[in-house]
Amino acid sequence: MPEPATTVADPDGFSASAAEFERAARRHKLVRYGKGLAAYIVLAVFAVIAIGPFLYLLSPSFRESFELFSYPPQWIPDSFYTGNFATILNDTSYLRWGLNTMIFATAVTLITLVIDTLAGYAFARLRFPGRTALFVLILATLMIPTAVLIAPLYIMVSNLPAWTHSGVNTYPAMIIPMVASPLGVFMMRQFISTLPEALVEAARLDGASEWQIFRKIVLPLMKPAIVVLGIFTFMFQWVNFLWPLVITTTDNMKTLTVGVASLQGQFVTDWGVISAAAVMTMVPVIAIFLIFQRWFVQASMAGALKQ
Amino acid sequence: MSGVTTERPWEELTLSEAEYRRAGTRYRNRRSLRAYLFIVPYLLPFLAFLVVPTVWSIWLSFNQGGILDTAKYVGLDNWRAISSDTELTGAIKNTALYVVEAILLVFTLALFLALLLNRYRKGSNFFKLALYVPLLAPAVLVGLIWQFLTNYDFGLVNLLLNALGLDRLNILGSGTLALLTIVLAEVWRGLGFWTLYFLASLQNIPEELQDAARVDGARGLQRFRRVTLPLLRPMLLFAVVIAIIANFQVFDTVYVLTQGGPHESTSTLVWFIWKKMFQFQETGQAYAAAVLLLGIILVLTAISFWLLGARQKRVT
Amino acid sequence: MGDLGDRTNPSPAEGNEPGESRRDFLKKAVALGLAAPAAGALASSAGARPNIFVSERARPFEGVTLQFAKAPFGTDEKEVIAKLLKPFTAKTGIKIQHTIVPWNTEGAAYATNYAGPNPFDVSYQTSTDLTSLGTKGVLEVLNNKQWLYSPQYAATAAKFIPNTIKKSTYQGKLYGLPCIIGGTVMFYNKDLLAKAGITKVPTNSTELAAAARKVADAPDVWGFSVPMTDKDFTWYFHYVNIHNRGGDIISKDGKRATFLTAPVIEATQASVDLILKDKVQPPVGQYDREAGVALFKGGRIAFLQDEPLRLAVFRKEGLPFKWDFVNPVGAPGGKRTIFSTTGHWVMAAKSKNQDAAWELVKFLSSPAFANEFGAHYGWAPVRKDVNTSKGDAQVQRINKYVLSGWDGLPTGPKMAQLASIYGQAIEAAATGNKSVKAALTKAQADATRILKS
Repeated sequence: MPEPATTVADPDGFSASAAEFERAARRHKLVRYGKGLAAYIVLAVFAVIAIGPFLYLLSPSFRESFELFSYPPQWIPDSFYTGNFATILNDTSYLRWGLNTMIFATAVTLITLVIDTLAGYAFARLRFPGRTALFVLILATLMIPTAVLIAPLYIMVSNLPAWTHSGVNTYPAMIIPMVASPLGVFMMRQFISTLPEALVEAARLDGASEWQIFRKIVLPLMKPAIVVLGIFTFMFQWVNFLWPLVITTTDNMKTLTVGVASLQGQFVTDWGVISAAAVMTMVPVIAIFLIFQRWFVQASMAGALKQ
Repeated sequence: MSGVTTERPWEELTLSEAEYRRAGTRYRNRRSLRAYLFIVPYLLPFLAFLVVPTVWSIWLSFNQGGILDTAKYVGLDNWRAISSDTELTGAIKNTALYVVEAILLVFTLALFLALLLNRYRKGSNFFKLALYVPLLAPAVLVGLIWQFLTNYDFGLVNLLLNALGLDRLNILGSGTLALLTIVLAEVWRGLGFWTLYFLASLQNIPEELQDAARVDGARGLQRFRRVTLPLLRPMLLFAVVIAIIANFQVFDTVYVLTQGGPHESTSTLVWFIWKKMFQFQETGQAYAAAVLLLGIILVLTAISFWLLGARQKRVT
Repeated sequence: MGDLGDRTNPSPAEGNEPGESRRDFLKKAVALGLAAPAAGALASSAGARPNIFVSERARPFEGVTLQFAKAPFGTDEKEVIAKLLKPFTAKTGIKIQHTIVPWNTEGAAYATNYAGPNPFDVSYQTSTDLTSLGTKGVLEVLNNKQWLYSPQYAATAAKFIPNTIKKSTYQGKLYGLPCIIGGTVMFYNKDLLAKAGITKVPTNSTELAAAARKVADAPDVWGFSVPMTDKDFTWYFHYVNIHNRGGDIISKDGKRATFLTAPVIEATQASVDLILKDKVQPPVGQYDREAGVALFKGGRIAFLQDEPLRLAVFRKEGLPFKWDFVNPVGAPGGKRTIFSTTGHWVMAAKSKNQDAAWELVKFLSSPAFANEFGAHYGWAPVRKDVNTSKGDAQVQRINKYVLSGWDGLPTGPKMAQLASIYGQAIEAAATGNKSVKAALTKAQADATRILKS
């Protein structure tokens, strides 16, 4: 392309020639594409790091156990052995464990959502004596690991009178102690405090009762946060191990994590079965995760926002 | 209400001072009562199943026994016993080291990934979901995965080293490497959560500020340091506090992968508590250590608030 | 039942033969009327329990359900125990609710369960947990006239091997009936030995080191493998070396820790030398216990020290080389013993069904249960009338080793901690993290502190 005439010192114009400008623009575009490509490669690498190990574990689940430690090790099995999955489904109470876990996680999630949103609203928008102190107390209990509380909690629950139907090996005993998690209240409070005060004030002036305000105004706006908390709680309770371990002794009341742990013998561990069982426990969670992913991804970010 | 309504000019109060105060009190009481009604459904299980066991645990730290047998008050004996326990001091060191490494690593990576995801939105949903999957795995699965990854013969790490012509590593047999494995396992698990968190915080920062800085000629790193980071500070405070609280309680991975080994180099505080309580039935000492853990976390949280929180007022 | 009588009883109208007096007929009818329900009862009970004919006499513990918990030796334990307990339930009417308690959580599971109001009526406890639970008062003391030394059981009680009862008694109290003892054995790969020109199987640690050196061609082939981390209970496998040199980690009166005595130091040094000096054993942490066994199965280890229940696995899967086993090597110029902890059947002190529980414990110790159970998992018996070998020559050999030279873990509520401390010392010394002397000095300090508290 013919170069235009000499660069005139045009105070309002560019200091470079049109061709130079075009070259610069092309270079800039290349750099931009390059950066974009690099970025996506990095993201892809991390995605592989995140998901890869699970695929890695799929292999042992399709092999017979004694083959696992053969030398030299083969990672791709020559044949797909479905016996591990068959063993799990036929010889163990896996399906029953799955049902128990589903009941347990769902119940805890539903109850938690109800009481946490109510309490979160109170801490965020209602005033009452002891509000700060109580909230600090709630936060402080986050700092106690579950392992510490297990024994006293068990003694309390196992000594409940029979008319409460909440002794060892009952659903209520499994569920109720787990609904008191402080993280949910914290999260709901943070979220509600980001909702504009004006809305609530206006409703109050109009004479609406707190309950009406809560139901008609606040609750609809909280949908994303509710979905997020619901998914968090569900996932957390799905993999909860310690409490279901001590509160269930009979095989037909165990949850998945506890049941899978009981598949390990003292010395002879059927690694194929364990891998298969562990992989299977993730399936429902991933399914739920995928179903709710849209809300989840959007809204998990909203929980931290302070608009 | 016993409001005395007589014909008075509208500017004047229709009630006497005392009546006004009483009405105010009644109103506040009604309001508080309503508030309590909202809280009670949460408060009941909270008090019964969190506060009571916690208080009980604290009390147990001053006793011997109390779970299987009747408690015997021994005052500060348990505290004296654990203060001379070398495994506890080791556990505190290990946990502190772990927390520092884990938080630094995960925050750096998460921020970096969040910046990328913020900038390149296309297909970001897939990456967000992928990063999140490790969080869904139960502890036993995480343990299995990392056992396989670090295996001397066929672990991925050693296969890579072999391919690169380097010596293989005895990962779970070395103190530093084992702790590093725990760090990496937990970072791997938590990366998705923190990435999404930082992404949300970034998206909270108005674009205009970024653009203005860009137009002013600020490069990427400068923009980050001078514009982004200060605005992130409140979010960072929350993140640091939560991360400290959660990471000081690391247990699952240690329990499944190393059980405190090799030679107690991955023994963390909660692992120490667990061992004392359930392997050795030393309940008094275990609870004393638990109260110690609570104290450490409280102090660190307070420090975080002081370091990161105070300046919140200056940045608007 | 009455219906059967009606059906089998021919109606009087039809069966009335001419010439039969009415009285005769009535007699026949009554006889049939009585016999038929009885026959019906026998028939139905035979149908319900085809192998056992139980009369209508009530079973002593009808309607009682016992909570029974055990950490599993193998993945099939639920079926094995269910099968073996069937005749017990049939005879006594006691139903057993069997809970599998995973090993890695049994501490937590039992500690909480025994703290509640309805603990497991009968459970299995290892010797390390036996006294720590027992001294807290949650286990029923058994060595008294009520249980073990009751007149009816005295004859059977005499059949227990005295050392096992003695080793399980702490401060005069026996908190559980020993049910199994085991040991470790040393499996060896005959082909590898032959290839290296080794003709005699080593009998003491010096010979073992020499033989291992001949075979080892690391990193592909190792001479010797034994679990080395505290996570894999390394103390359990190394304790025998201390006993072989005539020592222990705690004094006989249970008051002092003795980590810095010659037997302990020499034993630990011998073990550590195999890794650090002779380099015939893989470094600590490179292979955990399961990986070690897998390597042996793959023909990469010459001598493997592990528990006898690998025997069943090796035989079932068939190894691609000639192999055999021998008892663990002795100390040069010292003894050659076998070490294991004991398993115990325990009863809860708070159990509401103690008599039924005692019936179960007695049955579990009896040959009717113990023969099969022991044979299935390769345990040696604790009673002279129990035979777990079932004619199997290899198991008989294991039992012979065990019964001839068994010495177990001293009893005491702190023994679990002391054993773990020793394990930590082995780990520290074997990784090169500390010298043997330094590791044992630390162990001594820790143990002394623990014994004082």
